[in-house]
Order: sequence, then structure tokens, then C-alpha cells
Amino acid sequence: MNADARETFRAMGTGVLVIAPAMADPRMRADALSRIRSVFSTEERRFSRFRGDSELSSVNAAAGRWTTISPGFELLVRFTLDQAQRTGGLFDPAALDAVVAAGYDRDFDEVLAGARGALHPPRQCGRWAEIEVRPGALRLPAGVGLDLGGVAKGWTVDMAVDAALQAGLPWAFVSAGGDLRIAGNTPGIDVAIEDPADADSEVVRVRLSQGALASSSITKRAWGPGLHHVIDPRTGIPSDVRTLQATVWAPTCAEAEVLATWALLTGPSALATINGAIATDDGELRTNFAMEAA
Amino acid sequence: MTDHAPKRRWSKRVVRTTAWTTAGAAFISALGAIGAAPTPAAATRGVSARPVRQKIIVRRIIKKVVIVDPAGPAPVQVITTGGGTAPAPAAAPAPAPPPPPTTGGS
Repeated sequence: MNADARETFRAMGTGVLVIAPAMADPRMRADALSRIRSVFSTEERRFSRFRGDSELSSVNAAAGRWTTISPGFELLVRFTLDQAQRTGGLFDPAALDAVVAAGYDRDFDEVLAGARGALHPPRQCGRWAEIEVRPGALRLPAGVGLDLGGVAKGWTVDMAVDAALQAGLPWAFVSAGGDLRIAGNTPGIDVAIEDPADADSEVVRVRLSQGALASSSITKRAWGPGLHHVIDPRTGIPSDVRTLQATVWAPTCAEAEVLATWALLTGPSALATINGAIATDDGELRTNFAMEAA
Repeated sequence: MTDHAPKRRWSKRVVRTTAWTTAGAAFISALGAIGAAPTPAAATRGVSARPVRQKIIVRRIIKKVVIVDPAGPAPVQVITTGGGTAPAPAAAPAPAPPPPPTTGGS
């Protein structure tokens, strides 16, 4: 791993880390990095809810009537609706109103600085089932907004890794704020799973040789007691389950993102279905990742 | 006409003595002020007779890692649990490897 080349930059409100083989042609690596930056820039313009000029903001502003959407937007919306169905609605891409009502109504740095608006009572979730999509167009129910934050980040990581491989790299690793994926003919990358209360403390270190890891946590984007960004669609307010953090493996980062949210809301019993690591408030982290053979 | 008392002129010796005394007093009082001024904490580090105790606050929550059966095959393997410290190198220490990427929610 020492010999791997690392690059970092900021996008989508988080730090992006790119790791590529140092042995690769430097021009190829530079081309790959340029493509990765371009992917993040394009998708941030498309999916950010904090930019008034994003496609997502336009779509949300047009709730209640049909509006034209780009092919990239349509792909992710169709993916999220499939995932909402798959998770029985525990992953809800249309929970924007509930997130905003909980206080996450602007860029997170501003929320932390105390600039959030007044808090509101719980909001009904689950209206994703009323979203209509047809080729090149979408209609949100009136009063419903999309919040694609985490899943859009995972989706972008997947696109970025693909772009790096298309540039000719034998393998590439991309992480956006800890939602990460490795693909190609990889040597395996060591990844540390953080303690929910202290990002500087690692609880478990794993070696990832293919696919993606994503984590969902109620301790990271939190701005007060019981106030965080993971909405439980069953209640319409921030989740109050005993699970603090869930890290999940999946073939793609977008899928891992969805399953991490689902696992956080489901609790340790999710480990019967997915491979991951789930931390609870009694100080235990349960994981079904296999131990490396001695 | 008014009679003025003749001005008394200081001798050179007196003027010289007075000047030296004043300058000396000013110099000593400046030294005293500097000595009495509070010293920046950074400047005293490592000089103080009593070493300053550093308080390390451990905030981590996870005390126990439990490994259970996998739900299915996954290309992820646990290498270490609990973090901790690396064993001391026997020979000259190699350059520290970069920290691993982390995941923990954002």
C-alpha cells in the first residue's frame, strides 16, 4: 500500500480520497484523476439540495407537476425507488421534508454553526411510492421533495471508479467521506472502521479486495440531542434505535449506502442478511466480516 | 527693575552623576518589568521543573467486537480489531505507512 499514489480533494461537502497504483503511467493517473474530479463536479451540480441551480432543486421546486429530467437523474431516481421497495421503505429517497423539519435545512457546516431554522413536528414519510417516472420526465407528489444526499454520493463514487478504469488504470479506489469502492485488478486496500464516538479511533481494520463499503451513523451528522440526519420513515423523526453506526459491504457503493441506512434502522439482526459491522450503544460492535486466516 | 537671584549652574560632575543614576534606574526597572511579565506557556514547555501533565480524553464507545457468521461470501476480511498500537520495530524504523482510509458515516 505504501507504493500506491494518493490524491485528495473536496467535493459534495466532503473529502474525496483517490488511491491508484503508483506504477501506472503518471499521465494515465493524471487523466484518471481529472475524469474523477469531473464526475464529482457534474454529479454535485445535478444532485446537491444545497445548490439553487442544481437539477434536484429544480425538480423539488416543480413538485406536483411533470418536469423534464436528465438521463443521469432518471437512472438514480429509478435506482432509489427500486431500493425503497426492496427495503420495505426503510430507505426513503423522498424524506426531504422530514430531514428539513428535523433541522437539517442547509449545508451541514451552517447547521452546526446554529443557523438552522425552527424545528417542526414529525412529517409523514413513505410518499416515494407516489413518485411517477417516465422516460425523461418525473412527477413528485405535491409537497414531496427528494433528498438523494448519501445515495448520490455512493452513486458518484461508483461512476468515479468506472471513469478511472476507463482511463486505463488497472485498478482504482475512491472514497467520498468514507463511502468507498475499489475495482479492477486490485491488491486489496486496508480500511479502518471508525468508532462511532471518535473518528480518530479505529475499531476494526478490514481488507477490501472488491466492491464497496458504506457507513451510516447517527453520531456524525448530528446537531443536538436526538437530532441527526438519519430519518426513521416509520416515525418521521431522526431514528432513536439503539444502533449508532452501520457499515455494509455491497458490490456497488450506491447499494452499500442504501443497505447501510437499512441496517442502521434494522439493528444487529440485519447481519443475517447483509455483510457488515453494526455498532450499538451498549459498546458492542458486531460484524460478520470473516477473520483473515492466520 | 527687579533683582534676580543668580542662577545656580550645576557642575559637570553633578550632571554626569545624575544622568548615569537616572539611566541606571530606568534600565533596572525595565528588567524588573520584563521579569515580572507572565511568560507564554509555549516558552516554558520543557523548561519548567514540574512537567505539565497532558490529559488524554478517550471518547471511544466500542469496548467489544463480536464476530459472527457471515451472511454470505464477501471480499472483506477482518485484519485487526480494537485498533491499538503496532509492535515496536526491532531495527531502524521504516517510514510510517499512510493511514488507512476510514469509514464511519458522514
